[in-house]
Amino acid sequence: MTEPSAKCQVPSAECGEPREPRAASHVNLAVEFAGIRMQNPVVSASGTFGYAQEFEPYLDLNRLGAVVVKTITRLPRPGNPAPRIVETSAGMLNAIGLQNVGIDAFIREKLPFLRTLTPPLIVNVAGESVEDFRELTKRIGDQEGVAGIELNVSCPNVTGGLDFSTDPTLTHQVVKAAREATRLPIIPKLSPNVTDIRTIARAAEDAGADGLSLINTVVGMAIDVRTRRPKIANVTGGLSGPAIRPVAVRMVWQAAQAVRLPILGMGGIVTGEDAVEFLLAGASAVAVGTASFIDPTSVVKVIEGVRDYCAANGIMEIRELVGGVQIPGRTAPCRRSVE
Amino acid sequence: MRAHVAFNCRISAVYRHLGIVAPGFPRAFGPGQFVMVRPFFSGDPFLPRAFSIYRVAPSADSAGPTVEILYKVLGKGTQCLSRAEAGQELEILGPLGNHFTVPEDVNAAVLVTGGIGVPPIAALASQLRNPQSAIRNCLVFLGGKTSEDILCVKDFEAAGATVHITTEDGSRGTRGLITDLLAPFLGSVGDPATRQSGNQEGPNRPIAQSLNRLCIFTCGPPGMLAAVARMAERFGIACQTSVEANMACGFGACMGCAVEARSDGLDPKYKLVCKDGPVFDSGELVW
Repeated sequence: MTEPSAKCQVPSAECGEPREPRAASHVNLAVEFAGIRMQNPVVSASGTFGYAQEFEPYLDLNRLGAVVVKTITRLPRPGNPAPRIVETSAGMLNAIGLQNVGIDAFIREKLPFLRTLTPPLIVNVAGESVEDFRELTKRIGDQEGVAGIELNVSCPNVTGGLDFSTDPTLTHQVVKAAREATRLPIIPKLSPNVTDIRTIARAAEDAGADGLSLINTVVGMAIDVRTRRPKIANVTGGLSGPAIRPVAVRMVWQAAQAVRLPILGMGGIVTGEDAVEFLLAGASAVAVGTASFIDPTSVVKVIEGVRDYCAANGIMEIRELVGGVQIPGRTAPCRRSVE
Repeated sequence: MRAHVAFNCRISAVYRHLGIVAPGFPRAFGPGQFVMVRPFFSGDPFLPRAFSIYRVAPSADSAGPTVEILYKVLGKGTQCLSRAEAGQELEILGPLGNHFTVPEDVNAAVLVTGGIGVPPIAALASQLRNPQSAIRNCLVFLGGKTSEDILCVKDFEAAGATVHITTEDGSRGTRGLITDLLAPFLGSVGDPATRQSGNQEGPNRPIAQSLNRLCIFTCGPPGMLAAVARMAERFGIACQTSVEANMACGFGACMGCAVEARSDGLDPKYKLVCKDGPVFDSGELVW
């Protein structure tokens, strides 16, 4: 852990004046997101953390704010043909195709290990229909040791109209069905591939969501100019990594002003300062995704980075940062309460 | 794991030999296992790169063992790596994946390799030299486009292997593809009738006669691997193949490095190169 240095000081969100640095150990990182209590606001992003066990050799899983696991579908899915990924500038394109073991095997083989972890567990599910979502949410909601359910209404890489969250009506229907099926917190993960994220965010809020995850990957394409073929077999894929961070921060900021729901912000977070950017934009918690591929200890590094930022800037409560972006010419920062 | 460059030497115009001092890296590894290396912290290139382990040498001091890899300067990642100087910090993760395993009843190894697929095969040859190994004969079929692409011949010879070389331009060994040499050899040993009659011609004859339980171990360009897999199937010879794929993580989280496996059902079936491989029985995969 680095000593907080005066150089890193920035005006605090609260008063606009620099504060005295504090010891990192005095910073309270605890947050409550969508009714889920977390020791810190940093979680794993679904689809980049497997079922957590893959990361056990590399980091202490119990340090995470929450564990969010890879999308589960009703039936096992083999995934898309290869090649599935390609590196791009400051990021990567993927079209994995929701390869997963299916809900039965998840409950039988993956959940027992996940239950041994102390951070809350958020299970991500994807259905091909509104009824699929209802059934998946009900079954996962009935399991012991699950704290919340993230709805993947925005996977860009599977056929059959799975990208529900590009349509406010479909988003509303899916969230409503999930809402009726469980009392656990429901967190739809929204697509950035829309004209106006605020419309979709409001639809999810109206249908009874407890929080929002923003953003899923940005649909992209890369072509090999020598062969003139797409670089991934699915032709298009989801762009992730630092390349999409400004898009994600913008969407979190927009959604935060449109709805009262707490937001789990994600998209290209690699460092603690990246995470703070999302909190300032209005996210109550953040998820680390693609960074976990290039360094499996990334989530812990981001937790430490956030804490060091707070310490260096005299921030004792991480919650103070939420929505604290200060826009010159506007009278007050768009602060929002953490629900 | 934070590590640093011990050396980064040029072998030829496009091949380089990199040593990475990696504290805490295990001395023991299985031939075929790989490491993810990230020499770049600027975020460009973004992803780490997978490299087969060539050797792990004990440390001269207490700094930790030196993980050695051979690489070909091809794209952005390897170009960046080629500029790394001794002492430069980098990240290394491994050893990852599975490795070649000599089946119990096998006493002869046929190593088929080419280009930058050679390092794990050279590592395997060194291990087969071990007195505990059941392998009595080790034959190497080593191919390349030109003589520049022929690596590790000394390693194979030091391991007591017989080395057959081909180059596409004829600048070293026999002109042609390595599979041009391999096919008649496998034909002579793979067919029991021919083997018993002992009437085959050429330098393979005495070896072929002594080979009764052999296994092919292969790593190289995809075209070579496919050809070898088909030959192995045709002649009924066991074949372990180490394959390559684009990877983001190297440890099973991203699921990006899928290869198509043979499937009994209607649905396609994929295996992950990083976790289920990189070494597969060639019959497991769709070629």
